[in-house]
Amino acid sequence: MHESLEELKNYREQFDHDAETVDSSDTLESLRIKYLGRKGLIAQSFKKIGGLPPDVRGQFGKDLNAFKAHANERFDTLQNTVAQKSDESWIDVTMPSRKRFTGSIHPLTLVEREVRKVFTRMGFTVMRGPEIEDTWHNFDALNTPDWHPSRDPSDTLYLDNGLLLRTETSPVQIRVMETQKPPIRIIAPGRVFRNDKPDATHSPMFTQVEGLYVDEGVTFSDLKGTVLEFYRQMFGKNVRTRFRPHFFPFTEPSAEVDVSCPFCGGSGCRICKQSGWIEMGGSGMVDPNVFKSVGIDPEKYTGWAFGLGIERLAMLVYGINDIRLFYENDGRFLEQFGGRR
Amino acid sequence: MKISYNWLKRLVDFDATPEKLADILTFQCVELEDMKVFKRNVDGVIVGKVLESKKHPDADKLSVTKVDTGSEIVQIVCGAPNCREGLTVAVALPGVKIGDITIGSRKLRGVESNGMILSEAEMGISDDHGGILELPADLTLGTKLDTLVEPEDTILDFEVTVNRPDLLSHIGIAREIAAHFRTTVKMPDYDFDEDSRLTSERIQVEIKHWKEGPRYHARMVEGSSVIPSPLWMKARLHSLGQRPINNLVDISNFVMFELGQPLHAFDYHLVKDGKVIVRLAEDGEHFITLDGQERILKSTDLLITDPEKGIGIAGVMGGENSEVKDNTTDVLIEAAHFNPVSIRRTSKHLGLSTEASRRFERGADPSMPPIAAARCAYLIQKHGGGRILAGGVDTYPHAIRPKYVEMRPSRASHLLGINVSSDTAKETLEALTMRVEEKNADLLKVQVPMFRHYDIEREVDLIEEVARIIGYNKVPDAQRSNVVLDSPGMPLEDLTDAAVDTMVSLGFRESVHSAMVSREDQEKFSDTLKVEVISQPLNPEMNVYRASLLPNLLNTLSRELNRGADSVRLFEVGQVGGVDWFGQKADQRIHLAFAVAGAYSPTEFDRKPGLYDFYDIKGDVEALAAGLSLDKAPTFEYDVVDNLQLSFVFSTKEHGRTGQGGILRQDVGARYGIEQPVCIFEVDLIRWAGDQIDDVKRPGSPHGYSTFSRFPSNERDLAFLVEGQISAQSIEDIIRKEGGELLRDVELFDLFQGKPLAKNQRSLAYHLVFRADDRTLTDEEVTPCVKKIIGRVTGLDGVQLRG
Repeated sequence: MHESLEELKNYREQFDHDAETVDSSDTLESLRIKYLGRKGLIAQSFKKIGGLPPDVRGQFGKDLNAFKAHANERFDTLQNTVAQKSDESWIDVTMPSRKRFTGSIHPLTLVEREVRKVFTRMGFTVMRGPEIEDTWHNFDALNTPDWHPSRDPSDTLYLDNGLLLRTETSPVQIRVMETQKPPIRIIAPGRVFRNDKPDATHSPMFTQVEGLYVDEGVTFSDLKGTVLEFYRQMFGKNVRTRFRPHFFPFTEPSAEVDVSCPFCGGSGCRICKQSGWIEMGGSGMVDPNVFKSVGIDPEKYTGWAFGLGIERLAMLVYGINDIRLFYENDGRFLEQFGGRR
Repeated sequence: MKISYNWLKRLVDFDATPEKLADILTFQCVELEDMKVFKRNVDGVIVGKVLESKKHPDADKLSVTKVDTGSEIVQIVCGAPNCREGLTVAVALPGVKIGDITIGSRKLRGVESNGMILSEAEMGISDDHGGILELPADLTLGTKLDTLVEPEDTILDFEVTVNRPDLLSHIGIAREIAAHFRTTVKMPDYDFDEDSRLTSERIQVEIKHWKEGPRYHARMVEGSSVIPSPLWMKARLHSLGQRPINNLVDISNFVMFELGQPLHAFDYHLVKDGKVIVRLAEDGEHFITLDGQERILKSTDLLITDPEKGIGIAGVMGGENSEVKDNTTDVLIEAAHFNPVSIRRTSKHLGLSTEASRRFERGADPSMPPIAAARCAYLIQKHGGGRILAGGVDTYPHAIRPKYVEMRPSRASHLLGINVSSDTAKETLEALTMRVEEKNADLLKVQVPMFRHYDIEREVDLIEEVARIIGYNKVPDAQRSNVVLDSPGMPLEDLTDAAVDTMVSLGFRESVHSAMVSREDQEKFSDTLKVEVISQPLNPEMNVYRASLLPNLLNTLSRELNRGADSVRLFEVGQVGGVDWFGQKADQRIHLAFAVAGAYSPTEFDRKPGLYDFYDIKGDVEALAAGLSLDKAPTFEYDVVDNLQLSFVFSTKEHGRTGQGGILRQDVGARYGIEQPVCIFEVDLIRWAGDQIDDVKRPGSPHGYSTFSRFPSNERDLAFLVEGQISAQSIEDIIRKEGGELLRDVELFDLFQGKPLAKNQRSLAYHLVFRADDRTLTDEEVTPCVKKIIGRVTGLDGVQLRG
């Protein structure tokens, strides 16, 4: 390589090196004078072209032009960078943002949606019913005997107009069976009311979800399988369930459902009170008397029903230890659920 | 129901720890609520006799005693008031541990004491710490206390469901254990020598109302004495949560806990002529129960009487006038069976629930009275002496016959989803002591035991028995999942979900409030609200069912502002009842409401935050309508609503007024403690959305996609001077109408009031956007259109073009 070309290459490498060190308008100006100024290295190199041997001249001119373009471009970029770093144009990006109101869904709605999602995937339809009910739908049709303590005003809130605030979402079962023929596969979420003193684990109003499946050949085994699948979808594949005999007027056989503690996996922790199990709700095979009250033939059809509390589920999912937090609507509580769907 | 593990051990043979037993029973019939181990401090404690008891020279309340322990005589200083010469007592000598304390020899006020004389409470036998335990005088000195009382027991507390009254007894729980281990229970002992005289010579019974009182069995013990119960019985009753009283009372309780049969002991001499009459009370009849309370009876209450007076309320509580006293010698034992409905009614109207009524009202065992009465008589004789007269007086005019229920094993298989063979069904039912007869290959005829008489009535009840004995958890979890293909859609869910999502995207927080609210709070909001009144509310804060969501929202908003929140944006979707503040009434309505106060963006460091105002919520409502994909945007009309300063309402043709909103009147806000402006809105969601909630998204529906023009628009600005109450909407309507299809958008971009305009004048400036789908519009096309618009708008009285 001709020594003039060698020299040019060195200039360019030197320029790149010098450009790296530019950090202020002063150093930038020195860079400009050294390379791009009227007496700079580039201008001087142009003057040299005439004195070069003809066979080198072409290549030299080409390289020099490329170098000049490169230097100009780099200079512009540096100029921009240096300008941005100046006090006048500096912006303190660590100042707080303009906050947006991000709204939030109530945790009870979030959990209810999750429950609905799981059951609709399993082919259930969501149904609703009135919170103000009559004794037929809330008790009589559900095979609740006249004497049953749940009818007592110490348990049930009656209205002056003779109606009552429903104590379960079960009346929705009745309303659906009165108007639809089997097969029926529904869940019914909603608020229910009990004459209970509020404390950390009791509320006179809470949210239930009721499930009902009526068809030919529906069995207790189906109930167990469906309930297990539901909790697996809620808490993960390793969850187990167990069923204990219990009594509800509207089911026979009746069972309470325990779920293996999703926190400790069943080995025992504070949340399950070292038992490894958490009581989640009631279930059973629809009592033949309930079928009779809605005109469904209990010999032909069988069915199961279950119920569970949304608050209880939400308290587990979010680790909430006082049920009253749900109805206080304190901003410091609600804001924690922003951004969740 | 508290159950003693030791007691169960006497009633049935089984091999299981208390924990294991609780587990078995929890999965077979009854859930364990609590388990408690009772340790009694009797290890090393022995029987002694106080030979001498003298006052302590330096302490009034202490005695210095000499106690004979059978092997030595020791000096013990004792502080009990009942300490006296001749007493047989429980003694702990130095080295014996009582709880955490080891007894030692020490000086008490200068007098040497070599042990301790114990009270029942100190030994954990009962709560009685009024003095030292007085033991029967016939005990051999030096006898170890742990031969008189069990040193340890485990009490299992079970939650018995209302359908299983038979489990309110030790024998009932023992039967379930026997069923599990396929063994039989051992009925407790009541083998005694009867006196030659007959009970019927001393007692007559007449049942006047046999439906309410089907059976009355009486037994008689003469010449007994009322003394403290034996130590083991006191200890057992104490561990079951009962306070020991005397042998007669304790034994009748003991037998009830053992066999489930409530008993009552009368002092025979207080029952006139030994004649018992079972009859319904007269309306208004007064009776004093043994708790000293005067009760006013109804004609549906069953009363136990003698020829002169009432002596007990059947199945609930005995009378003060005939209860056993310390000097009672002759005892009439009542073991009766009463109708559950009758007892339930009486217990309820008297507001009196007892151990007896709890068992009778759920259904006691009709066959148990003679056995329980005999067991009671036996124990009284054993622990109080006396003679048991021969036979009982068993008045049972219409004996209750056992029930027979048929069951098909195939039906059990069908319902449970497992194969239940006839043999399996038979075997499990027999384990529950049911008599089973095979009518044919798929039909069992089952005799229901009397202790399940009121519970098992139908085939499905027997299937439940089979299922729980097999074990619910032996039934596999089926993986079957049938989708009901013709299930309806869920328009209501879609609507409420969309409403919640839209509100959240607009920056609102969803809240959930109690639907039970205070009437006062509702009325503070608007006197047009008509709430549903709760008859027996929990408290005055929850005495009505809400007719509007807003009072709750305003309370929360007020609280949030008070705790220093800069702005609050809350909404709720929920049911309301009664009549709402737009005068609408219906069974079930789902409302959406929101309340906002403060700035529309939170704290700003470099500019003034804008306050939320009327036009903000108007925008929110429009955005909500868009979020719900409603075809028709809401139309707003100005109206004067009682509690609003600035208000709009909207209505539908079918339902009239469906929603309203605006700025809350300041004095109404002040009632909730809010000083700053609050914007509120409430709508009947279903009626607002109307038939559209059933609208299925089909091709060609208005919800589909439509093309948009890619040609440039031609834009014009027009300003009008408007006088008085001519609305912006009315001007916009004219512009849109006259603009025709080329006019694509109209936007009010400026409002000007004040000088140099007249006081009742506003300047409204509109931005008009003209566009065609297929070409670039020329001025020649647009200008005539604009002229037409100007002509029409300025044709309105009081409107002119602003130069």
